Amino acid sequence: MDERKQSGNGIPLLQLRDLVVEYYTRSGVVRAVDSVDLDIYKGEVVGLVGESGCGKSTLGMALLRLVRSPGKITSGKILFKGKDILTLSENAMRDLRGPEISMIFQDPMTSLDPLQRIDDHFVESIRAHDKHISKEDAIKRAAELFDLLGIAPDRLQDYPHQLSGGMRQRVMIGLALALDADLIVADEPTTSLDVLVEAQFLDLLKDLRRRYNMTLILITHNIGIVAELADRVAVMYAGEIVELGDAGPLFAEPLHPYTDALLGSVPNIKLDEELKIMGGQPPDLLDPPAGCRFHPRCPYAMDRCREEEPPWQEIQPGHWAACWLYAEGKRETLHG
Amino acid sequence: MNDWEQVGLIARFLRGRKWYGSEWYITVAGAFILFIVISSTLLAPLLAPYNPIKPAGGRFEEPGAGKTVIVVATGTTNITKPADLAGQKVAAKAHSTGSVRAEALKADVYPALSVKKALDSLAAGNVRAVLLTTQEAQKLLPAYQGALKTVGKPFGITFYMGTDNLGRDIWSRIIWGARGILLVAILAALFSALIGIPLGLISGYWGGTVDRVLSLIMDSIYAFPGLILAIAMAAMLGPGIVNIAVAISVVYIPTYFRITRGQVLSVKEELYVEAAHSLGATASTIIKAYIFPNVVPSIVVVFSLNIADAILTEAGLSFLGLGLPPPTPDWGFDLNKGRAYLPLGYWWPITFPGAMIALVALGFSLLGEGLGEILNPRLRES
Amino acid sequence: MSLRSYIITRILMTIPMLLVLVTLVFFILRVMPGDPVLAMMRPGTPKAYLNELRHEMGLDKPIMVQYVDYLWDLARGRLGTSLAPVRGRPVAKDLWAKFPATLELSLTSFLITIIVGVSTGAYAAYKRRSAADYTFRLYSIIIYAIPVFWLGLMFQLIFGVYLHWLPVAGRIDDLALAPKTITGMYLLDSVLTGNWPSFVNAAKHLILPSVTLGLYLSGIFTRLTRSNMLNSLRQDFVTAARARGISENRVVVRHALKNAFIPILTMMGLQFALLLAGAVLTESTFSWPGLGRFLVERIGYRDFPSIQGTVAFFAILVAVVSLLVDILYAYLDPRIRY
Repeated sequence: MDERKQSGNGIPLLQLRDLVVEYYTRSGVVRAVDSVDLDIYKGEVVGLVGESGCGKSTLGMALLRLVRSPGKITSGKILFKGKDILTLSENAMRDLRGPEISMIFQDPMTSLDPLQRIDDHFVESIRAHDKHISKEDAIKRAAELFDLLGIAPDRLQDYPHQLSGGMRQRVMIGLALALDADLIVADEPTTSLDVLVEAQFLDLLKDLRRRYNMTLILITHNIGIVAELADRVAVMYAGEIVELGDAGPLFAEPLHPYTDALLGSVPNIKLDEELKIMGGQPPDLLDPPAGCRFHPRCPYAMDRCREEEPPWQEIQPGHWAACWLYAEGKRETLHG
Repeated sequence: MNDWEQVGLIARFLRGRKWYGSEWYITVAGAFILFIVISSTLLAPLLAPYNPIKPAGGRFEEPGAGKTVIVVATGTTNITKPADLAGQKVAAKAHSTGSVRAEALKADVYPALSVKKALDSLAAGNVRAVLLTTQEAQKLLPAYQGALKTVGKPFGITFYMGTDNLGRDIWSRIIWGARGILLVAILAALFSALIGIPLGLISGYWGGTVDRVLSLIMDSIYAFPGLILAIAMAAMLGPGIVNIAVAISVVYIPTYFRITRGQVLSVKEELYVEAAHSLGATASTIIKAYIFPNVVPSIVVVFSLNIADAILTEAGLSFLGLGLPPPTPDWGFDLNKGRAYLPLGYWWPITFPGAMIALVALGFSLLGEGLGEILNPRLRES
Repeated sequence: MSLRSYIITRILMTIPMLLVLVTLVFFILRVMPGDPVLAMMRPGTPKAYLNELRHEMGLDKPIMVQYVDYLWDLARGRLGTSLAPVRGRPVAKDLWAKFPATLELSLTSFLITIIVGVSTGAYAAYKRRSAADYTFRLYSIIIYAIPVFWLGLMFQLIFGVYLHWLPVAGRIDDLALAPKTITGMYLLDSVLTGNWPSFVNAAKHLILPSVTLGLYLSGIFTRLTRSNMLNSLRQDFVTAARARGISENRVVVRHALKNAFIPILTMMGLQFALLLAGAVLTESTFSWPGLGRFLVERIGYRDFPSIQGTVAFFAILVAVVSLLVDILYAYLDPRIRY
C-alpha cells in the first residue's frame, strides 16, 4: 500500500473504465468482459483469478488491444499513464506494445517462433522499437538478460525446440525485460510448467520484481501462485469482477460467496480441512442469468439476487465486492 | 411422407442456409449445376435439334448462324415455299448450311466455291434458286441492287453454338456428349470406391504386414502423376467406356484406401468399439455397425470430389485422342479436333465443349466442397 | 543427427520407393493388359510379326525373368529400344533429349504456381472473410475445375490469334536461333552463352505454356496456403510477436507465412507430380517438344517400349523430386534434424 503512494502520486498506471469486450459468434454475442473497472498502480502485482472461460484472458489481451477476432472491445476506456489507448492509431499502439506493456503467454512452447533462433527474437524485438541499436548491441543486451535469468548465454543461438519449458518461459520474461516494459501482463505463465520448474520460475519472478519494481498483472486460475506473489487480487466471474482487495484480507476473509467457494476448492495439505467442491457450472455467457450471475450456484442466494444486479461496494476499506449480502450494511463479513 | 413433413424438410433445408452460411450456398450451387446438366443430357432427344454425329449445316457456321433464306432472280420464279425446291436446280456454297438444307429438300444441288459464285450463276440464269443463310443474304444481296430477291421466310433452326469442322451442330454434340463423360467419370469413381474401400477396411482393421504392403503400394500410386498412369493404361486397353473408366479408376483407388484406412484406425481407437470387441462382437459386426457408418460421410465427400477429378482426367484422355471412339460425342475429343482450326480464328468449336467440361467439374467440386464442410463439422472453422 | 547423415538416410529411403514405383509401372503396363503386343497392335496384324515383336521385347520369357531383366536394365539406365518410328533406337536417348524441355516448362510453371498461389492464399487468410478472401477462394475452386488444355487453348486464341502478342506453338521460332546446348533448357543456355535474341525468342514461347500450367495448379496452392496461414496466424507466437510491437508486415511475412510454408513444402512433392501430369496436356496443347508430347506421339506409333520407358522415367522423376523436397524441408525446418 505504502509503496503505491510513494511511486505513483496516487495516479494509477493503468485504469480500466467500464471496459466491455464482446465476441460475435455464429450463435450470438458473447460478452466476455462486462463493464470492468480496475486500477493498477506502479510497482504492484495484481492477481486476476477466476475459472477458465470467465474472461480473464480476454481482459489481458484487451490491454494490448490484441483481442482475437471475432472478439472486439466494444466500449469503455483503457487509460495507460492517463491516456486512452483505445483512441491510439495502430502505429502508436505498436510503439506501446513491448516498451510500455508486455505480455507473457500461457504456453512457452508455442509463444516463440519455432523457425527463429532465440537471439533473433531479441534482436527483432529490440530493433523493432529502436533502429539505432546495432544487432551486436542487441545480442549483448540479450546475453546480459540471460545471465540474470540464469540461462547460459550460449543458448542464445538455439532454436526454441532445443530449450526446456522453464527456459522458454524465462526467455519470454527476458523478451519483456529487454524492452523495459512498464507493465507486464502474464497470462497463466506457469500452467504448462511442472511443479518444480514452476517454483523456480516464481522465485525468479519475485526476485525480478524486487530488482525492477515491476508492475505485473498475473492472470491465473491458480490461487497458490497469486497468494505467493500478488499484492492485490481481483476475482472474476462470468465476465465481471466480483471482488477486489488486498491479497491478505481477501484470502483470510473473502466477502463474495464465489471467492469463498473458489478458495474452498483449493487443495491445501497444511490444513486438514475438507475440500469443498463448487457445484454447478459457470453460466452460458450467451444467455447469462438475470440478477447476480452467481446466484444459481450460490448457497446464500436470496430472491433479490435473482432479479437485481448487486451493487459494487467498498465493504471494508480497500476491499470491494458485488453482493447483496452486504447491502444496507446488514453484514460486514461472510462468515461473521 | 405427408405434406407436413415435406414442409418441415423444405423449411429445414432453407434454415440450413443460415446455419452453414457460405457452405450451404456452395453445395446448392453445385447441385443446381449438376441438376441442369444431368437433366438436359437425359432429355437430349428432346433438347438437341440435330443428330450429334451427322452434318446438320455447313462447316464452321458461326454461333447464331444457320437460318436459311432462299434467293431467286427477279421475275423468273414460281417458287414460294421451301417444299417447292424438290428436283429444282439450286446452287449453294459447298458444305454450307444452304447446301445441306437443299439436299434435305431433295433439290438438284450445284455446289459452288462461294456464296458469291452461287449468286452470280443465279444472276446468269444457270440455276433456279440459291440457298444461303440470313447473315450471308444481308452481307451479299445489296451488291445486286434488287436484281435478286428473297423468297420465303428464313427457315430452319439457328445453330446456337455454331457447327464444327464436319458441319455437326455443336449444341447437339454438347448435350449428347455429357452422357459419355459423366458415365465414364461415375463408373471410374465407382470402380475405385469398390476396390479402395474394402482394401482400406482390411488394411486398417487387420494392420500388420498386409497393412504395410498395401499402404506402400497405395502411397506409390498416390505419389505418381495420375494422368500419366491413366494415359499409359488407356493406350494399352484401347478405347471404350469401360476401358477408359478402368484406366482412370486405378488413379483414384488410393484416395478411397487412405480415407477409409484412416477412419478405421481412428474409430478403432474409440472406446465403444473396444467395448464391443471385448463383448465378443465379430469383425464383420464391428465393421458394419461401428466403422462403416463413420466412414460413409467422408466417402460421400470424396466420391463427389473424385468425380470432378475423373471428369477432368477423362477430358484429358479424350483430348489426347485416348477417349471414346469417334464419332461418339466427347467434349475432350471435340476440343482436340477444334484445336487444328484455332489459328484460323474459329473460336466456337473449342470454346463451348471446354466450358462444359469446366462447368461439370465445377459442379461436382462445389458439391463435394460444400458437403465436406457440412458433413465434417470438425473441420469447419468456428 | 547431422544434416548430412539425414540426407544420406533419406537417399537410402528413396530406393524402396523407387523400386515400388517402377514395379508398379511394370505390372500395370505389362501384366494387366495381358499381352501388350496384342493390346497395342491393330487386329489383323500377321501372327509372325506379333511373335517377332514378342521375342524382340522379351515377352516370350517367363514373367519373373522379364521383371528381373526390366529392373536390371533400369539399373543400368536402359529403357529398351523403340519399335517405331525408328526401330532399334534406344528409348533413353530420346527421353534425355526431350527432358530439358519438360524440365524448363515445369520449373517455370511451378514458380508461377507458387508465386500466385502463395500470395493469394496468404492474403486471403490475412483478410479472412473479406471480399478478397471470398474471391480468391472462389478462384481456387474454379481454376481447379478448368481443364488445363482448355485454358491453354483460350490463351492461344486471345494472345496468339486475336492479339498476335505471343507465339502459340513450339519452343523457338527457328532451330537456328536455339542457343548452344549446355543444359538443354533454352532460357538457361541463352543466359549462359549471352545469346540475347535467342533468350527473348525462347521466353516469348515459354510464356503462354508456363502461365497455363502455372495457373492450373495455383488454385491448390491458394487453398493450401490459406488454410496453413489461417492456422499459423492463430498461433501464439504470432500474437506474442504482435505483443512485442513487431510491425504487422514482419509478423505476417516473417513469422506467420514462413511457418505456414513448412507444411506446404511437405506436400510439394505430390503437387509436383500433379504438375507433371498437367505438363503432358500442356505440351500437347502448345506443341511443346517435351516428354509428355513424346509419350502421346509414341502412343500414336504404338511403340510399347517408349510408352513403358517414359512412364518409368516419370516414376524416377517423382522419386527424385520427393527426395529433393525432403532435403529442402530438412534444410528449412530446424526441428527435424534432431
